[in-house]
Amino acid sequence: MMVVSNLSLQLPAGSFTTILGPNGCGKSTLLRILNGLDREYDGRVSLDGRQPVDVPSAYIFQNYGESLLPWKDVVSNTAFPLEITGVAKRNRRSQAVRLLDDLCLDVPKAAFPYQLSGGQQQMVAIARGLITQPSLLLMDEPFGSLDYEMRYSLRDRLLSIWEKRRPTVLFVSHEVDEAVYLADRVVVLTRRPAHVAAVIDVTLPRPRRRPMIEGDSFLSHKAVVEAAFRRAIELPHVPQHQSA
Amino acid sequence: MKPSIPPTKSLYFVLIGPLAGIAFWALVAHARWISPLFLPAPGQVLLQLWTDFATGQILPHVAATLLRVTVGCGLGISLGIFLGLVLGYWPTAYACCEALIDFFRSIPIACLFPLFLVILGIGDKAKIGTAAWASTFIVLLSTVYGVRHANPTRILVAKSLRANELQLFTKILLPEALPHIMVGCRTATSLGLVVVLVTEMFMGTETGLGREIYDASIVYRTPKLYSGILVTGLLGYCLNRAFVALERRVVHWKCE
Repeated sequence: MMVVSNLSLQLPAGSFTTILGPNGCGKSTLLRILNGLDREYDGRVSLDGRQPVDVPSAYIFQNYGESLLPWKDVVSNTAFPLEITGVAKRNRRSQAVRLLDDLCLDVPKAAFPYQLSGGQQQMVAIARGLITQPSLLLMDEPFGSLDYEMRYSLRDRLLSIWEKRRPTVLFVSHEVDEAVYLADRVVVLTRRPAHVAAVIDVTLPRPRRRPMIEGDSFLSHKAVVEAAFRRAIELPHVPQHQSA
Repeated sequence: MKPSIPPTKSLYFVLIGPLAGIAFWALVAHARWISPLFLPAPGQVLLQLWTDFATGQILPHVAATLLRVTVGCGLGISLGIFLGLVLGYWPTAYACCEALIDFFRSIPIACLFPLFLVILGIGDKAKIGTAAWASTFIVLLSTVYGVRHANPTRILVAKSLRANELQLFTKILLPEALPHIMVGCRTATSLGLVVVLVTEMFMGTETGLGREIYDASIVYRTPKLYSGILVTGLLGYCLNRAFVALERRVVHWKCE
């Protein structure tokens, strides 16, 4: 099945890009390919001329409840990528503690995932993603399964982390508000096979503050993105089934 | 929501059921609704129980049974975990063995007693062998299940971190399978106790709780018969509690 076609994205180092697209348009597939998780595809993928497998990237899953290892405490979970690369236990734990302190996550370090709230769990998952200092942080609707209130507060937490460490972020979203609020640029994809329908630069000042979402600038950005999104959905595409 | 009972009080509640049971038993026995030949009064049985332990007469039998269960189930559990991990990880091998495993575990263990008796003789070996056989299959299957039903997201996490196959196995699949393995061990041990008790009754031996119970029944020493049953029940209960306590420690994330 052709999921993604002829798709080219500019991700300047240290920038925050969100992807919006119709359901099932291949956003997750794209992220998996970029992460090197999905290697069975036809065609060519290159990240600055390199294969995805050769580019250190971290993948943040939507279902935080399943992505953390329940048998490990917060510190060991955060340090898990270092465990895989063979960093000695003392060393990797101290790195994890330092990172957690640096990110100011108010998460008890000795706690196990089942003792944390959903939001805390996802923050630990994000910390785990950052510990290897990846050049690319791939986030697949990370706040999608959180409740409304938690989602809002985690957006701000994520932004403050991003401002501190400046990883290059590619963030898949299904909410226009979220996509605009977080991003330097919003990329709107078409239906399958997905290609870029529009790229909208978000010129809202940083740091972003929550009251901004009621401001004119935010609303006009939102309107532009919404219009682009609507056009992307309405674009003619090859139907999968035709009925008489 | 159900109101929870404070722990200090719940301790008393735990005792109410057993005490009520004993009271009812006393009522039935003293009213002679059932002949004392078949149901002796609780006092008689408790006296017997007290004598058994005070004289130490029962202790070698408890030890013999416990040893057979431990060695037999220990062997079965080790073999079951090992084979289960291999077969769980390697689907082709499992597909090849599935029919065989299903067939052998479907054979009622009782009809294998004579075979084990012939092969291993009437000593402890046959009893341990039978318990090991029975427990192997239970642990094997729960281990296979645990490995194969490892959480797909966590497998992706490991793959996304470029974990190699050995790391995937030791750091994800093994801990993922652990809760199922623990349940398998607990079930296997309960069955192991059953098997050992039965083999003690029917495969020549002088020791073991099964022997004690059976001997008491032949001569209609019912208080002795009942005390044997109580001791065995207590042993099974303690083994089970021990496994539950172990699970709380080892797979704490499944107990929350």
